[in-house]
Amino acid sequence: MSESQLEHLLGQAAALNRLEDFLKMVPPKTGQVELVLEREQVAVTRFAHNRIHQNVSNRDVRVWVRAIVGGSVASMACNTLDDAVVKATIEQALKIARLMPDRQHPGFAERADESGHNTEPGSKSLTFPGQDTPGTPGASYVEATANQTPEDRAKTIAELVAPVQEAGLEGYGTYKNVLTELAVANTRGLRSYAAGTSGYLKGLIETADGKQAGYADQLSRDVATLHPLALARTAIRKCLLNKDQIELGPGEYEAILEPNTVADLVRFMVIHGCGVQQLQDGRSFMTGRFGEQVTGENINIWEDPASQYSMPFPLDYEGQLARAVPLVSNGRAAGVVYDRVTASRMPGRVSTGQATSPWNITGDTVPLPQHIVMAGGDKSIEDLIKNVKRGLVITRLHYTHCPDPRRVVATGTTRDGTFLVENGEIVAAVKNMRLTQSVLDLLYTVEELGESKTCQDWWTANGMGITNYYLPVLRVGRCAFTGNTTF
Amino acid sequence: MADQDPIESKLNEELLLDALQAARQAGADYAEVRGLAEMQSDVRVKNGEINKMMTREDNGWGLNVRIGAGWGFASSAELTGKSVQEIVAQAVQLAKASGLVQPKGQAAPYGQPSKSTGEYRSPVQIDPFRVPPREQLEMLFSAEANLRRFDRVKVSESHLQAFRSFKFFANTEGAHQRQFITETGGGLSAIAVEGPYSYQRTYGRGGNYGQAGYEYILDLQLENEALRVGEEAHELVAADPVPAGPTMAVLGSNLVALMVHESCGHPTELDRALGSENAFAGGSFLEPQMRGKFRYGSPAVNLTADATIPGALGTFGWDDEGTPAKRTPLVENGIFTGYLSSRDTAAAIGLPSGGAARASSWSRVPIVRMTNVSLEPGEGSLESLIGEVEDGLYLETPSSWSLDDKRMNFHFSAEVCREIKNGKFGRLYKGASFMNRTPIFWGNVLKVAGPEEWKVWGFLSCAKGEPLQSAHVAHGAAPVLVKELTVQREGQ
Repeated sequence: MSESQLEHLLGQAAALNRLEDFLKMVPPKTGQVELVLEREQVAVTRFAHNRIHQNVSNRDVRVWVRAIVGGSVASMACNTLDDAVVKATIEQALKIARLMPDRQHPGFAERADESGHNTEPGSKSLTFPGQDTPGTPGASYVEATANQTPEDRAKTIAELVAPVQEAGLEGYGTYKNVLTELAVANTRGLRSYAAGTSGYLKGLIETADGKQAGYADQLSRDVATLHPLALARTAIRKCLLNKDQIELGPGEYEAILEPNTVADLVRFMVIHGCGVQQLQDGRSFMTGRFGEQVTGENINIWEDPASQYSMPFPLDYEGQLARAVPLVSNGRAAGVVYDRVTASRMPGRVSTGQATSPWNITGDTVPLPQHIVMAGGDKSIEDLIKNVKRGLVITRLHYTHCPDPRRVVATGTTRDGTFLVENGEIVAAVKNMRLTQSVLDLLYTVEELGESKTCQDWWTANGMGITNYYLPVLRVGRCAFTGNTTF
Repeated sequence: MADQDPIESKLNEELLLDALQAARQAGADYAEVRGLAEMQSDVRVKNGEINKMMTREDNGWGLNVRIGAGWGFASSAELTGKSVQEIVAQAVQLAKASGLVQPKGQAAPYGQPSKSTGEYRSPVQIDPFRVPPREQLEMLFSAEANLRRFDRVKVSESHLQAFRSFKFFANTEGAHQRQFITETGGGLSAIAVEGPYSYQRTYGRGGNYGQAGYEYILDLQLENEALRVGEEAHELVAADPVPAGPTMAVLGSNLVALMVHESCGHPTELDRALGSENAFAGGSFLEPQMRGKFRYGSPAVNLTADATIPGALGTFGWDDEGTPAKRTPLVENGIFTGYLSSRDTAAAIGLPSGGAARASSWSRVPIVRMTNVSLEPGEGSLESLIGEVEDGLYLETPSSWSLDDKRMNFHFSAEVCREIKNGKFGRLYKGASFMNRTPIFWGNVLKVAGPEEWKVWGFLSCAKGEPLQSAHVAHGAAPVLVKELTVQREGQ
């Protein structure tokens, strides 16, 4: 019988009891201490040329100690639950905090529900669809996902690969299962815990000569909702359609942007513009613009940590309840997310529960949205294509970057299925092109919003980001391409 | 006898060897075990306050086994008798599950055995973990204050980081290796704001890093550099946009280093060329049959992967498959000649491993990574290259970059652009970007500056693999003179 991640789940009682034991090690009257415990189990099975070539799993635990002495704060971390190591880590954090100049830390929360909602000046009257009709709450933890074994993952890949082999094609991709647990406890009484699971399956299908490619993926808290066969058929269909690519020159085109493409573009609005730190740094598109029009009026984007469609998770890394936050309402700049530290620097603000992982060694730890929803519609991609006179269908983008964060200029090349549409029908496959455009400008030209999909941007899907999305397919009037490539 | 390094006590080597033995008994045809103990510190000062003061330990181990054609890698932060049993069982299960989706009768070759034994230590003069926090902070506060001396600078940040690791590797072929590596570095960032515009100027984008002790951080002279970085940020935000069009250009060594990384390092990774990264990082336009024939660049372009450069971030004694560090030409006189490779990828095209299989953590499996991939120096100073340009531009420090999934089409933009008129620097411009195809750009390189301008840049976050592996790599580069560079205004 093969082992699953469920067998190594700590569980709420064990995780919080462990933290309780550690808090007893804090020397009396030395300062406030907050402990963040993160348990992570990741299993990734990768396949290439229709065979599994990497099959890996890891089991980690991280304990993050934040110590406040007066208004000074210091942090230490270790990746063990060993009493002696954690005790030494707590003592060292207190020692360093005593040496630090006063940073005016607001102090730790006493309860998980100290987070709340903010109304930014200028955006008082703005509403957003998720405010009045929140999505069906979803569970962050699904036992069936935690119960996946190496054989289950191999079986899922075998199902995906079978029709690929039958078609004489080559399959590449990944099936990933993740089980995370987050527990936060501090000397002021806060006790928070949540667990999350995810299943992510992607298939890139190519011809043997590598000249044609098609792609599809699926992301869910619940692996029972993943459909490897349907996913394979979608990618195979795209691969077979993606033949005899023609070369198109730079210029503005009408375009159908599939949700994965939209994710890679909206990502730059999120990471450069929707956190209060970026606003304070003067780098956000919302800096000084709350209440002003920043996109077309048909655009509504909000952070929704509870929706079943946006990979729900109830807590942040300060143990606070994660709240819904309007970001762009009817095209107007509406709000940004806060953690406790950033909220304390602005009068009248509270944390909205979007503190991010402190484990990151090479950068700022700033609050960021992680569950982005954009209001969509009912139309299928096929319906949207029928309304294109002459334009492109973009399956997804590769390695995007943001040359100008303030204007949210994105650049990246298309991949795995770019098609020319004329008079409502796909007439040719197209060699990959470089899209370079302000995302805000692009979102002024949205003609139709279609069906939505749960997805991640290219960076997050590959471990370099933390944002999940529920995004529609878009039909846009002017999508700017600045160049092309050879395949 | 030298004192034992305290980090050694974080790994129980006997238990790691037990895991190897247990894997063999459980039916592994081949097994390798790797333990890694790491200490890391990150200190950041931003806008006159401490932004981050963090130290962390990250210890763990992983076991990689092959059974028939199937591979399995399991890893854990726990290293106890119980966890050894669990991880061995898990790795074996994973390898057997891998065997369920394999072409019949096709076990891929694993290349030449790795049997080396020994110890490697990177040079350290001042232990960065023994430098008092106050001393580190005083230097960072001073540098950060220097950035803010200029009116338009609204966000200023200085940082330094240190890493120390002890790695133990053994395999069932007899390899037994211990490596101790210390890395340090730091950087600066200034964001200037003027009306609706903001502009960032940095020291080396993310800074600069090397295998060394705190002496490396002192050598960076961040306090002095901050005066230059702050002033340039202040000037750039108010500068005119760059004039667009084709031009003769000189590119600074930091920008060239990233271009080498993105448009030479990645496409010469053999696993990409063979397809195993297709679904994430992408493939490569450099296909195996092109080796020895394809013109990648002009005759001035010579690129080398060298894991033996003293003090560089991509230097080691052995890679994470136990292969000794090597120097491998990738492009010679403009012709593509070699790949970065691991045991299995090299064996697939009939070559010995290039010694470039690296794992970024105890929880990651080794994959083909860059080591120190460098553009070999040519001749002459930066001044002499500038002197050859009658009417052109000088571009320095990357600010954004993006490449297609085979590394053919690229976009780069530079933080700084200076006019060159009659062989002299002129006015400052902002927002210069350029797009091209890799072999066309490198084919247009007329000259590479000489050894006196050649500098090694250490990058901390080269991303590849699933789960993601963020590798420390380095690139030696000197400024280049390039013709017909079509410069665009950023975002247009």
